[in-house]
Formats: sequence, structure tokens, C-alpha cells
Amino acid sequence: MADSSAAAASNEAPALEASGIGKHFAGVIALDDADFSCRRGEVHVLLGANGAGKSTLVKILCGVQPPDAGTLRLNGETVRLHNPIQAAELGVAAVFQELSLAPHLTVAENIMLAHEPTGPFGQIRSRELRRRVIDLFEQIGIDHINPNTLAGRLTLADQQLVEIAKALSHDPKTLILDEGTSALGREEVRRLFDLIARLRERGTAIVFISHRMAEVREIADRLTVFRNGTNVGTVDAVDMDESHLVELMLGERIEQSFPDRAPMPTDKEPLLAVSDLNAGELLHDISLEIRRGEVVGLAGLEGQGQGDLLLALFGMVRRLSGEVRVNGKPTHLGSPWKAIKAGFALIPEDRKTQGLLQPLSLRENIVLASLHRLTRGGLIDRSRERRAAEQGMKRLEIKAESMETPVVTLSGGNQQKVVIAKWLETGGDIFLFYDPTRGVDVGTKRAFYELIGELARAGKAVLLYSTELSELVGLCHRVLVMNDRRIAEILEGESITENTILAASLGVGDRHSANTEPATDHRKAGAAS
Amino acid sequence: MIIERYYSSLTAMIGLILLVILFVYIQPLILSPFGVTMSANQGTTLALAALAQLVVVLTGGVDLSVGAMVGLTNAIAATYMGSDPAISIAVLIGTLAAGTLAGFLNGMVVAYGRIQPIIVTLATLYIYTGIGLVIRPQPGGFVPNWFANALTGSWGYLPYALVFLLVLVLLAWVPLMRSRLGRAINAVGDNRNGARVSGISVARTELWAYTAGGFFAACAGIFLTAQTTSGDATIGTSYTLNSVAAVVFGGAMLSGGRGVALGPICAAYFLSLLISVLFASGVSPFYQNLLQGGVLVIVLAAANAWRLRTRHWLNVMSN
Amino acid sequence: MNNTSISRRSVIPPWLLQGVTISYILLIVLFAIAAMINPHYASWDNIRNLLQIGAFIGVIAVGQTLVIITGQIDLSVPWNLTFSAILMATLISHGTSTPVAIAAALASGTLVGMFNSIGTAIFRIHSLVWTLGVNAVMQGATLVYTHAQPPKVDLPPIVRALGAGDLWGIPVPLFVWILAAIFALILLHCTRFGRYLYAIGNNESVLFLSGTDSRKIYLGAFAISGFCAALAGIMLTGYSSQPYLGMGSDYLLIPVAAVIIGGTNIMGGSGGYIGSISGALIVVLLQSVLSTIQIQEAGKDIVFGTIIILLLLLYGRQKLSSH
Repeated sequence: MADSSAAAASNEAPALEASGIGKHFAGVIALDDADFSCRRGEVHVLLGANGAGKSTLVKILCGVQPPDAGTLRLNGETVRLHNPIQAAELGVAAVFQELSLAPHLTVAENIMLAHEPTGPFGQIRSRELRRRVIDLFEQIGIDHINPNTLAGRLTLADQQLVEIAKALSHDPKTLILDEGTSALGREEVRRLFDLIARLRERGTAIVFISHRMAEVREIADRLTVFRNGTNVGTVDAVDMDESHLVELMLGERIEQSFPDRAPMPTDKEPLLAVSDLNAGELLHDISLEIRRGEVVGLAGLEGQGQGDLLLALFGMVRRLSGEVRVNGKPTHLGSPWKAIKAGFALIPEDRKTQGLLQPLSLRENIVLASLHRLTRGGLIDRSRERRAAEQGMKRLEIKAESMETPVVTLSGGNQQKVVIAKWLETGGDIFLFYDPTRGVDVGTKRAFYELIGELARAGKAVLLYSTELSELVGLCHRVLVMNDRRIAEILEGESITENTILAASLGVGDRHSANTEPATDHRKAGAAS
Repeated sequence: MIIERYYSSLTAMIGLILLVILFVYIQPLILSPFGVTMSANQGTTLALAALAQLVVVLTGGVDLSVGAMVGLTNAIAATYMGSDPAISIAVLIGTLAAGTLAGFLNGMVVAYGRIQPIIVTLATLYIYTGIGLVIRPQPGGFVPNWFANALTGSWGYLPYALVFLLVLVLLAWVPLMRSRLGRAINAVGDNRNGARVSGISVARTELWAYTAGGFFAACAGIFLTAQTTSGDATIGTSYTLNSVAAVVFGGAMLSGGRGVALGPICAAYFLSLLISVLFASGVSPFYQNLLQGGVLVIVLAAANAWRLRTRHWLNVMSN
Repeated sequence: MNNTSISRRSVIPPWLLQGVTISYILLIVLFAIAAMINPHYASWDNIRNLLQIGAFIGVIAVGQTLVIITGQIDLSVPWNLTFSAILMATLISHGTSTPVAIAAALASGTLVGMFNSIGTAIFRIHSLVWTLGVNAVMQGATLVYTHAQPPKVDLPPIVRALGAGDLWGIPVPLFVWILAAIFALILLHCTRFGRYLYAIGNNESVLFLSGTDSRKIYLGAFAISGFCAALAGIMLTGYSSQPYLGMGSDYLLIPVAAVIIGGTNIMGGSGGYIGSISGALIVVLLQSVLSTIQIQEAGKDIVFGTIIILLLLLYGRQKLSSH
């Protein structure tokens, strides 16, 4: 959207201005002479790959961490921030990707945490607290969340809304949203953008970090790209050229967003055949087939059972009924070890807390699921283990000092590769991906797309649950759209477009619903579909 | 919402009520003023120790030195109280201060030394027991009658012990928990990082939580002094374990963040009365220990039996 | 794009700062100081004695180390130990053959350990609470079984040898400890099971999602811990030539302290048995040194506790959660 507000042309001091910010952790430089400024009444998007320093900058801007060097000016005045509450009082509040809510406190208590209204003896005034939250909700336009519910009971999307309300409870002049939309579905993102528009009108400065280019395009007034801890460029939204931005982020050109899709599988018999899979209230009558070398996508609105389906196939859901056949053989999926034996592999939702043992080495992580094959006489065969790790690292081009490096030091993309290497080592054939590119930057995504292609070419069956429509369109041979914990529709080949997926997700028969965004086709022009 | 808040205390409350009913059935005399008072006296020390443990557990930690602090304060009080009321009162205040200081020490090492609470308090357990033994090498000491009666006596059916407990809860526990610090204590245990980015000083919060723990442990020690009219530095060992049991039984989670005082208090009285019930029902004293431990184990298992039926494996994992 | 790496402290090499290394340095320093104060200390007689007593703690520490690496704790040792010892003695006094009695004691300890794992792995009750409860149950069981009268029994020579015997001048308990130590080291560093222990201590979900039933690993760890407690109980019985009701009281927290002093993190996921060896020896050394200095009992406790805290401040600190 074009920025036509007076603030753009005015000479008034920016709401937030950081100059020469430096920050390092244990010898690693996170920010290096970084500059950033955001004007009143503008939405300024901050772009950059993972590890480029965005989150560190945000933590400094909102008072969670002090900078090692540089100055911070709020509304023209130099300030020194000690903690988030003081920063909020000075007008800067942030919402992070990791939730800061206490699950056993109520929504209202969470929102007012650390700045509760108190009486003469230091007692929290609960009624006043609740009243303020109700007022706040009214102001923001949240009408479906009860302030008295325990925060842990809310859906992830609602929790993120509460986080935003929490930041807004300080009535900040600058609001920073660090990946604030990653858990939100379309509906909520729409609501959030309405809110952002209203805030912008009121003159609030908004810093917005996201990896979803579609959203960025819609909301930005200006964009700044960070790379390796420093500001490499700021552009106005009108002058935005996406490939140029990506180039700035990565420091190199990349040709296309999606690699060529793997050729259509030719097998007659499916590798995986599921019929009438039921799991109580989690899944209803799921039937599907996947052939070797096929990439099948799972789509649909959030929470329609996609994740549960993946977990069920991996044996993480008990009391399943229905039939699952792998290579024609009936398989009983009651536990992960049985699923793995049948050839399943699950790349979980959160690679940090579910996929890898962070402090342990690459080697230990890669062999974690295959140790039974690498032991001789009860003892681990070290040389075979090393060979397996070497193979894994080479096959996936994992960049690391050595196989002994702790996995926690690797970039997000490399970590993801280690997870996949672990599963390749088990000799699994059916790869289940649980929203693997959430919160992942463009460069890593690209590498990941190529990996998927390679897996398919190697004859693996891939079931990919993704919340990014463009990925489903660009990677999949078929897309299963889930609704209400069933498979609502199956799209194939040419008919896979963002529009059709969206329509099927919403359960709309008419393919040209007015609410859909203009169709964006990221595939290379002329690519065979 | 209030119901939700106290829901976790339900098991302990129901257990206590059932136990009391059983007790009355076995030994109707328990309903006399004497019986009621005796029962109240039996459980109040543990109830206060449970509060000391609870405030620490709420931050996500554990305090293994609670028993040692109870013993230490008991030793101090019984050794120095003497018969002069003025001195006695001063000594009592000093005892409270000593316990609070011990808790403060725990807090300093945990919060600013950044060492896991379980081993810090394991070490301070030895230190406080040692100090208690230096002050009172052998059990004994002198406790004035007026003091013992003031805390363990009764007015008809109203035991002073319960009054003592109530006063402490109303004047110390509730204001603490209703303050910003109390809210911060809950938040730190619930989501430590979240509390930090919300502007709470985690270290300071932990420090005051452990200090408060020392305070309540001192209160427990003072009551114990009135109850046993003597001092014994090593008497506290069982209070540590039982305070943890009372806290867990009372509905709080060892991972922190959830728990109200009502549950652990009821659980403390439950655990204390259990001995009396067993004794009154003629169970051989040999079986008492077994049943005490057995009941704890069974109750804990029963409270978590739902995990056997849960559909998602991941639900079982996350404690 | 990868710009992170772990920096190395330029002055002090990282391995030197490991808890294990420090504990061994401390052990040597402590011993040197003791020998300086009292030359008799360095005599073989004395060392032999220390090793013998250390063996009891060391054997228990085998199981405790495994359990702590998984992030749990076993506080059922005192009465598990006592019950097994008394079981063995009672069986012997009723005419059961010695090997059977010993086997029964070991089996009892192992079963208790397995019961511990049920609370942790199936009911997901924090092991701190559950094993304390089991400890109380075992105390009750012991009292019921013996009617508070420990059996007076003429111990067969094998048992006495296990606790107090000598083989070529070396105390038998020490042999047992060495065997147990070898077992622990191989288990932890060369087997799948050991790898899984560390994995659970780091993140149980990840291990589970990688296809290993973590519950079985808990079962194994606690079972071994129970076995070790029983074994120590048998050895202790031989050492004091009678089982007695208070024989376990020293072994609630001391073995835990030994493991922690040895550099294993109480939260699990790191450390190992090598450190526990020095930890056990340090504990024994400390207690012995403190009694020769003739500080009263109280002083010993204070010093013991203070030293643990100082050691922890040195190498037990938690990293500040990073960006």
C-alpha cells in the first residue's frame, strides 16, 4: 500500500531510531553497526534470513537485552532501556514468536503481567485489572476471548492475539511484531491486519517481521533488509522488487522460487494405502494413497486434523481403526517404533524441541533412530557409526565443522537437514513433513524445496503438510484438502492453484470466491505442471 | 474461574474430609474439644512447612532444606527462650529472622549463583542441620508453658493452632500471593522465559520466594517448639519429604506455576491425621509406616491414571 | 548463512573446566592436604579403609548416575537397601541356601527399582516424590517384615567376605566396586542403552519420536539402581556382620551428592560415571578428614554442605538462557 500519510514527508523525529547497534554473544557477532528507523504511522517490515540479527535487534529495541554499542532514540530522545516494562512505559512494546504467556494464569492476568494495578498495600486490584483488559479488548476489537479463561486453554492463534493485546496494553507508540503471524490462520491474519491498519491511522509505528511475502506485500510501507547483523538496504514499498529483496537477504541471486517438480510417479501400486482411518474425535474416515516418488500435500485451514493425521501415521496416536498398508502389507500403527519399522519417517513440527537433541553432536543425532543397526554384540560399532554420519552429511550437503559439532550451533536450514539425514539413515520410505518451513527464511526454504524434489526422485513417498499455499502449489503432484478432520477434496496436477486450495479449504463450491487473494503463481513461467 | 483455581486442591480436600469422617467413625471421642485440638496440633507444623515448600515449588524449584530450617528454628527457640516473657518474645522474633535469613541464603545461591535448587538446598540442608546441632547438640531445652499453651491450647472447639495458621495465611500468605511479587512467582514457574521478557526479574522473584519459604519454615519451627516443648535440630528430616508430598498431593505441580495454599494445607493435615487414624483403628504400629507410604503412592498414581488413557503419545511425554 | 560457532575461552582450555576434571583435581588436593596434616593418612592401611567405605557409595552411585543422567532421581535407596539386606539375612536364618538368599535380595531390590520406573515412566509423577514415597513404603515393609526386630543371624562367610573380606590384600568391596564401575562405564559409553539414557536426559520427546520406547529405558535405569542398592545392602551387611534398621540412613543424599560433585548435571543429559567415582571418594575423604580434625558432628555437616555449594558455584552453574 502506498504510503500517503503526512508522516512520510514530515521532518518529525522517527518514532524509533537505532544507530550503530552492536551486540555479540560469546564471541559470535549478532549485530554489527546496525541502523534502523521507523516513522510514526508507518508499517516498516524487517526482512532477513534466520540468523541475520532481526530477533536480536528486536530484543534490544524493546528492552529485553542491552546493546553492546550504539544508541537508541525514541521520538527523538536518546534512551537507555533496562527492562521490557520500562521500555513499554517509554513507548516500545514487542510481541515475539515464542509465547510469553503463563498457561496457568488467566488471559487478563497475563496481559497485565508486571504492570498490574495495585492498591495502597501493594495488593493487585483484580476488578480494576479485569476492567482494563475488557476496555482494551474493546479498543482493539477482540470480542471472542474471555479474559477469565486460563491462557493455556486458548488456541495458538488466540494466544498470539493475547500476546498482541499484552503489548498494546502499554499503549505503545511503537509496536514490534516478531513473526507475530506464524501461528495465525487466514481469518486471524485478516483481523490482525485490520488492527494494524487502525493503529497505523492512530499514528503508531509498527515494525513487522515476517517471512510470508504475501503478507509483507500487503502491509508494508517500507522494507528494510538485514544480513549478517547489519542493515543492507531500505526501500519504499512502492519500489519493492521481490527478487531484489531476496538477493539482498541472501547476498546472492537465486533464479526461481521453486525447483522443477519431480516427474510424476509411474508405479501402479501405491507404496502407502490408507483406508477408513479413524481416531475418535481426531480423524474421520481418512483414505489416501501415495505412490513412490510422489509428493502429496496436506492442506486446509489450521486445526483440521492435518497434524493429527501425520502423527497417526507415525504411530503417535493410539486406538486407531482402519487399515494401513505399506507395500501391500497390512501394518499396525500403534507406536513410533512400529511405524518406523514399516518405513515411516516424521519430520516434526518443531525441529528444535522435537527433532534434534540440541547439545549433542551431528553424528549422535544422525544415528539416533538407527542405532539398532549399528551395534554389534550389544556395543555400538563406532566406525560404522562414523561412516553413517559421514554419508548423511555428504548426501545432504550439511555445512558444519565436523560431525562432532553440536547441532545447536547449526543454522536452521542445516538443522533441518540433520533431521532428514537421521531419517534417510533409517532407510525409511514414507516421509511425513509437519509444516517444515514455518518461520524459515527464503534461502533455507529454497534448499528445502530441492531436498523434497530429491527425495521424490529417489523413490520416496512424501506427505507434506504445509500452511503455505505456494509451497503446495509448487511442490506437490496432488493435494489433499482437509476439513473437519476428513479429506474434503483431492486436487491433482493442473487444478492445484492457490485459489482452488483455498476454496476447498473453506468448503466453497465456487472456485472464484471473492475473498481469495489474486492468484500468485511462483512457478517458473513455462514449467510443465 | 474461582472453581478452576481451587480445582487442583480438590483431591486433598476430599481426602481430608473422608479421613475425618473415618476418624470420627472409629473414634467418636475425636469430636471433643480435646480431640479436635489434638488433631489440629498434629498437622499445623506440617501445614506451615507445606506453605514453605509451596512458595518455592511455585517458582519451579524445590527446597530440600525445609526440614532442616524447621529443626534449626526449633533448636534456637527451645535453647534461648527462657522464662522471661520479654526475652522469649525477642527470641521468637529472632527465630523468625533466622529462618527467613536461611531462606534468603537459599535464594541467593539459587537465583544469583544460578545453581539448580535441588542440589543447593541439598547442601544447605547439611549446613542448617549443622548449625542447629551446634546450637543444640542434644534434644532438650526449655519452653515456657504460657507459650506452649498459647499455640497449642484451645478455646472450646477452636484450637489456637488453627488460629495461628489462619493468621499467618491471612497476614502473610495471602498478601504475598496477591501482590505483584506473588503474581511474578506464579509466572516464573509457569513460563520462565515468558516472565523474563514480560519484564519480571526472575532472579529477584526467586530470591524472595525462597526467603518467604524460610519465613514459613521458621513459623513451622516455632509451632513445633510449642507442640513438643523441646528443641531437636534433627527432628526436621521427615518434614522435608512430607512437605513435598503435601504440596504435590495438594495439587501443585513440581514444574511450577500452579497451586493454591488450600490444597497443600489440607494435604498436610491429611498426612498428619493418617497416623492418628491408623493408631486409633488399632492397626499395629508396624503397619503405620507402610500404610502411610502406600497411601501416598496410591493417591499419586490415581491422580495421574488418566495418562494411561490419553490418545496422544505426546501428551504423556510433556510432564 | 551460518555465523554461529561456539567460542573457546582463550586462556583456560574447556576440558579443564569440566566438572569431572575439577573433581579429580579436588580429590588429589584434598588428599594431599589431609596427608600433610596427618602423615598416617597416606598409609596403605588408611587408603584401603577409605576405598572400602567408598565402595558402598560407589556401587550405589552406579545406579544413581544412570538415573540422574535421565533427569530423574532415586531416593528410595535407604530402605530398599535395608529391606534387601534384611530379606537376605532372614532367609539365611531360616535355612535358605546362601546363593538363593543373595539372589532373592538382589531380585527384591531390582523389583523395587522397576516399581520406581512405573511411577516415573507411566504415571509421569516426578521421581523425587515417587521414590520418596516408595522409600516410605519400603520402610513400612521392613518394619512389618521384621516386627521392628532385625534378625540376628550368623552370616555365611561369603557374605562377610563381600563386606569385609580381603582378596590378595585388596578389600573385596573394592573389587565389587571396580567390577560395577567397569559395567557402568561400558554401559554408558559403548552401548545403545547408554546413548538412550543421555538422550532422555536431554529431551525425551525427541528420543521417542526417533523410535525408541523411552519407558523401557527408564525401566532399565531404575532397575539397575534398585539392584545396586540391594548389592550395597548385602555388602554393608557383611561389613557390619548384621543388618540393622538404620543401615540405610546415610545413603539417601550422599550418593546423589557424590554424583553431582562428580560433574553430572542434576537435570540430566550429561556427565558420567567417571566423575561419580571421584565424587564418591571425595565424599568419603571429606567425612574422614572432618572426623580426624575432630570437629564435632555438627561442624562436619556445615563444612560438607558449604563445600558442595562452593563446588557447584565452580562448575554447576546453569548457562543464562541465550538469545
